[in-house]
Amino acid sequence: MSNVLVFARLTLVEAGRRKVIWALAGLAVVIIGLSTWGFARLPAVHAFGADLSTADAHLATAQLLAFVLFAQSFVGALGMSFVATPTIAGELESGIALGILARPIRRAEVLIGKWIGLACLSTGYMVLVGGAEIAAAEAGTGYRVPQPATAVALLAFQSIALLTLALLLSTLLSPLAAGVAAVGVFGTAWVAGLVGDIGLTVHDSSVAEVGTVDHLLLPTDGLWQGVMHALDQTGLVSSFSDHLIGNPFFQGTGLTAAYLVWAVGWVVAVLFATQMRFSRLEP
Amino acid sequence: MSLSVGPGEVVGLLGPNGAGKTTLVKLLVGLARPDSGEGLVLGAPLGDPRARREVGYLPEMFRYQPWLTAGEVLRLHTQLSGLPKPERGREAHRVLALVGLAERAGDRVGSFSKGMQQRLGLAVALVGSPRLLLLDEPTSALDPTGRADVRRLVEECKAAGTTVLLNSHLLSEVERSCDRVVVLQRGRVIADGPLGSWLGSDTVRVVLEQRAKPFIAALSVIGQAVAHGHELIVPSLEVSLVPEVVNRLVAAGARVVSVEPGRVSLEDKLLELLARGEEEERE
Repeated sequence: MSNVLVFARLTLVEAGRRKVIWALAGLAVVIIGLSTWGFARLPAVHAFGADLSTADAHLATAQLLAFVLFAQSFVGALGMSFVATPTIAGELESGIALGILARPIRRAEVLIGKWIGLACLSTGYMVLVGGAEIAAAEAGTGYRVPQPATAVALLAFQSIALLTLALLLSTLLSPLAAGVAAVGVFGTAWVAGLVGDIGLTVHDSSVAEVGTVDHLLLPTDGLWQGVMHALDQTGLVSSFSDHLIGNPFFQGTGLTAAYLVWAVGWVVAVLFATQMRFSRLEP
Repeated sequence: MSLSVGPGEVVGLLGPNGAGKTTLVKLLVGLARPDSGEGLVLGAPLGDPRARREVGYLPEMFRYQPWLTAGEVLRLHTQLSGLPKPERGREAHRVLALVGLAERAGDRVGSFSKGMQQRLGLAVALVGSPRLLLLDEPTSALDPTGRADVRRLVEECKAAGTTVLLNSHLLSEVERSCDRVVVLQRGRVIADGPLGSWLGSDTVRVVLEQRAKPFIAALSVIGQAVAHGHELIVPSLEVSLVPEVVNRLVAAGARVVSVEPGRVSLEDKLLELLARGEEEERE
């Protein structure tokens, strides 16, 4: 096994032994259980004394599904940030890195191995909870997500982008500060994306540009918009479009290939910057 | 700093806190980068992973993954040091047995006492029978039995032709284990020589009621005395000259509390060298 895979495996073993996996699994089970119950109850809901029409029920399901997946992605982002940051900063601070980095290995092998381990962890979590939520929505309300695989893949990509940023921060700050900064940046990017959507709603191009710049600087919210588009049933947005523009849980247009290439390039560039910084750190 | 250590030498690295001992060791294992200059470790340039292929290192701030068992830590290091797969398990068991932890191979490192973790660190350093062993404060957390074990291990390494660099504040350990001593002060080598040439000469320790430093001049015609608080140490002095020492001190106004003829210890020699180094720097 190459050294990269040794560190990827070690990262997963650490997450398991430190009960990170169990904590995430526990939270996922609770959220999935509650949302499954909610989706099952949705068709029986009365609005203003009348049964929901199928279109209304689908709209409500799509909205609820987006909201639940946002909650799951937030849990995943929070979890990944606080798992990713101690992996560099914590090991340098505690002295664990001394014994490891003195071996005949390259620091890039350590970093990429840890990144792969964390990416596997976050992808596994997002695939599991995303798939379960989408299945629960369909089972409870009959609402069929148009592009479930794309939605789950973009959720995982969003999480990988954030953990990559968290790794960079962990070479610059203490473990706790890096974790807090990563979550803070994630939340700020989401709010900036929201501001951009409001700009689109009120046709103010300068406010709308806030969202564009946000999506370029940190692609988490841009990828989230892609998730929203993949969750939306064809025709749902067009029938309600006037009311839904500016709603953070609906997105009328999908991501372009150019944006996906930009997001992949962003992850590679941040990982490269992390390696440049890590290679100069003295434990 | 200019320093060369030959094969099979056991060298003690001494100096006050901040002298650069740990920095030197970190440079040798690629954990720190030199601002300028160059060095070779077993023929490979500093920082090159090849330089660390046959180097064992016990850091001063040792800590190992608390979520792994001792056996897993050792197997990780056998893998990272490049040992062939069939040899890893056997090597892990061998080094654990050397430090007396064979029975604890299946226990989590997090449950180990500090002394046991230091033993584990020694086992990690001995993985693959390195040609160069760097021990940074190897006995700081050990009880007397553990210290004796470290001495035994250093003796065995020496007998096997391993080069050992021992960085320790415990001068008795250095006296017992090393055949050459290098003294560092503020990043410079201020003394370097065989231990035997430093020890064993006659010395006189005079304890005064006052501070001793003002009375150094009174003994200038007899020898180069060194003052530490209320103590004056006169090295390389024949016992027949002791009454003359006392007379001169009394004549200079000193009140003599005790006079102890003895032999130069490593501590005396180190303090003398450091005091001289300070004086030279001031001049």
